[in-house]
Amino acid sequence: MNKSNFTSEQSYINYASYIEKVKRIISVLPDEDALELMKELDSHIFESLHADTSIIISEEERIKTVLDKLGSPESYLAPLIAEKRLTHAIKKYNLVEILKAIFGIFKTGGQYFLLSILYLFTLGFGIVIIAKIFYPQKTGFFVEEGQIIGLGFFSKINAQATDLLGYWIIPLMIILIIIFYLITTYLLRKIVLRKRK
Amino acid sequence: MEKDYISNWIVQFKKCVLPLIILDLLIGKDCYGYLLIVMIKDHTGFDISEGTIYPILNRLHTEGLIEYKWVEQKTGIPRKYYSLTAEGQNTLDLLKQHWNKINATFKI
Repeated sequence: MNKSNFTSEQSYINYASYIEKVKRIISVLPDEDALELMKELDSHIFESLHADTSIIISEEERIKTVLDKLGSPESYLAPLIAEKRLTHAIKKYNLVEILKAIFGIFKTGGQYFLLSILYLFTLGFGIVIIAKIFYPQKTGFFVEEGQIIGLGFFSKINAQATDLLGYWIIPLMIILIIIFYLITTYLLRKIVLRKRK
Repeated sequence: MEKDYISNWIVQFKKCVLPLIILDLLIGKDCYGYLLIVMIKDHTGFDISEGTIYPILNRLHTEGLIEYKWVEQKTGIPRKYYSLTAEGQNTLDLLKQHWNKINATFKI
């Protein structure tokens, strides 16, 4: 649609602003797919705008209602774009495109995966505390000849290796458990609340 | 808490059932996206965010269950009409069988 489809300047501005947002979001798609999608959404907006003219409201209110009902393009276009990108990349056997598409999917669905990794770390810190209690000589923050060997439980550790933390590893792990747990849970709450909106 | 659970359940239920509803609405007729939304609202009372139909239509098309054609209109803005493919009809028949089986065996 263009300016001539609207009687009010503001209506056109609202429409054009929405379309610009859509164009930005779908710019990652191949031209053919982006054009097709743009055409379909334009058609939808037009049909919705002219659907029920018996209700007397201004054109500006009408376009606002139409766009509100259509929804935020970021939310409904995300799964569609991810699928189209992956389909296109697979057809072309293009590894770079496949990785970009998978990363796009990972960004949405992979958030939970990332959070599960962070929770695993939290659990790991707890395991280190238990290991320190039962295997104090084999658990700690070890260095040998200025080189860091690692932090955690080691089934075999050289006699020359030094545990820098000793039993201080326990309060350190407790602090890390609290920090990791609070941050991870905060992020999870944000994701869940955002999805519910 | 309970309200959140129920509203989340309703969202998931709609996501699950919308492809079946869309395929059913396309029996014997071609429909464009906006018309499908109106028909969904009329037939089910579902109040859905209208944009959510497009990823579903894209998925159904990718799976070969629906096909489309663009039809020019006098208004100058063409419409994208969707229709069931033969595979879409077969899939719909199977989905309906599953739906009816659940309906028949699970009484709430």
